[in-house]
Amino acid sequence: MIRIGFLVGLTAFFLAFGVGLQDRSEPRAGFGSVAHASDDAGSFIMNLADRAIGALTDPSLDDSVRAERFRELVRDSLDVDFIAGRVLGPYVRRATDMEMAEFRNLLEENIVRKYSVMFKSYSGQKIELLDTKEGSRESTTVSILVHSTDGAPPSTVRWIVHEVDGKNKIIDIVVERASMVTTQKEEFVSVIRRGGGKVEALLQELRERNAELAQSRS
Amino acid sequence: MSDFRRFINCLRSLAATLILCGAVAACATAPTDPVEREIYEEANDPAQPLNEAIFEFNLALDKAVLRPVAKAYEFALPDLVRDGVRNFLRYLKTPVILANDLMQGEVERAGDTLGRFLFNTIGGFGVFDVAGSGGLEYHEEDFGQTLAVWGVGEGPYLMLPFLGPSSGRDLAGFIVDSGLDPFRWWGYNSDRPVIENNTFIRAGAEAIDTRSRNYKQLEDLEETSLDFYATVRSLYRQQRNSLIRNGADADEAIPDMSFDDADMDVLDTVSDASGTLPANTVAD
Repeated sequence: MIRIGFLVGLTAFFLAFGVGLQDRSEPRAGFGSVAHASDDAGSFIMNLADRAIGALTDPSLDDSVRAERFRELVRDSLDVDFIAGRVLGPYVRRATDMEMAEFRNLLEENIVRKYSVMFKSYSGQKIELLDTKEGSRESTTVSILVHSTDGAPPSTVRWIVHEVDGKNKIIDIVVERASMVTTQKEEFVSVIRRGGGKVEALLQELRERNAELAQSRS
Repeated sequence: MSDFRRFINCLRSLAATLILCGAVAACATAPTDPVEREIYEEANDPAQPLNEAIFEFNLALDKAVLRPVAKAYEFALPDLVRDGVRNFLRYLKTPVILANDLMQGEVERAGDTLGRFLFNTIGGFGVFDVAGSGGLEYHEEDFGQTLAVWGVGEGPYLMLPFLGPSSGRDLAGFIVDSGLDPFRWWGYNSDRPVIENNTFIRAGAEAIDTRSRNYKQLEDLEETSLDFYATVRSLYRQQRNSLIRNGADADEAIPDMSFDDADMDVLDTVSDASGTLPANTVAD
């Protein structure tokens, strides 16, 4: 009766970055000989997963090295500018240039700190490309299936990708039922609202949080 | 006391909760500032102060009771037993799920529900999910979803004591589902304690089972979230919307989640501006 069933999909939320191909011989559905945008997006995500697994999952890796490697991947593949604009919701219209620039950097730092450590717990989950679909606003949705290693049913992760200057960039990750951007937006908007509608209130929170994360995990 | 009277009393206490929420809603006035107003309307949470108080209560209860019990439950029992518990709880929900499948005109899914019931009765005594292993997978359905399919609006966000996040529509659905549940009526007509209290026993078992399966995720979430209340509200809504669509393609979900045109126009400008966002851009 207690409605916490909605949390079921969340394991994958924390695996979203921490999954990849183990068995490279597994056929990759959807890769025809004809190359077009959605195929590109599909291989972009699968390659990214490969790179992440290769570079980040070694448990003996130093946390700070792992964080820096992850930062490179984030800068290369995540459209942080775009996401930064979205997760402020209507408050984006209130943010000054300076606040926006700082927020963008704090957000990137927060993503790096929050997720890089999760690769440590990677235990060989396999991923499989389900399909790629053209979405709205020239975005492409890449759906992948994450197979768990403990017999639990696989979870679906959707990567929303668009092109920036001819390069694929991720703009959202939808794990089971939850969009990361939507969830972060409601969280950030709420923090700003509690802080009297000032963007600075969120910046302060993020500065503190990032410092804590850097300390506890270095 | 007649069973009908008992049911009415139950409804009455729920109605009282609703009225209380309504009273708080009436007190909270919508902000006049356009940005704040947009946020207020998007949150659709007019009773937020009351909801937050109840959320705190639920969290305290969770820490004091549910979490330790769920942890012990997970520690003490092997997976096989816990899966059996979950399968049986789901099995007992069959009548409510079937009724809602039918009310939504989902004939195929109703067939799945019925098929699951038959296979799991004969082959699994309700405890083993033989149908699920054979590809007839479990799905949830409730009257809150049925109302949504019928076009009823979501109503304000509500945080219910003990029950967790809900909405006006889902609370109404919960009341109707309770009335639809034959085991509840059986309980009203029985003097055997286990039968008489089966509704509470099932609710407790389900809470423990679900909690034991989400132990780590919830912990991570609470730890990483800057505003746990808002995060839970957002996840609840997203999960309900997906259930209403029966998990169907989220393609439509992605635009209406947040990608509205006004927003995107701002961002188009932003992307062109090589990474820096313009100050105080007005979307419309």
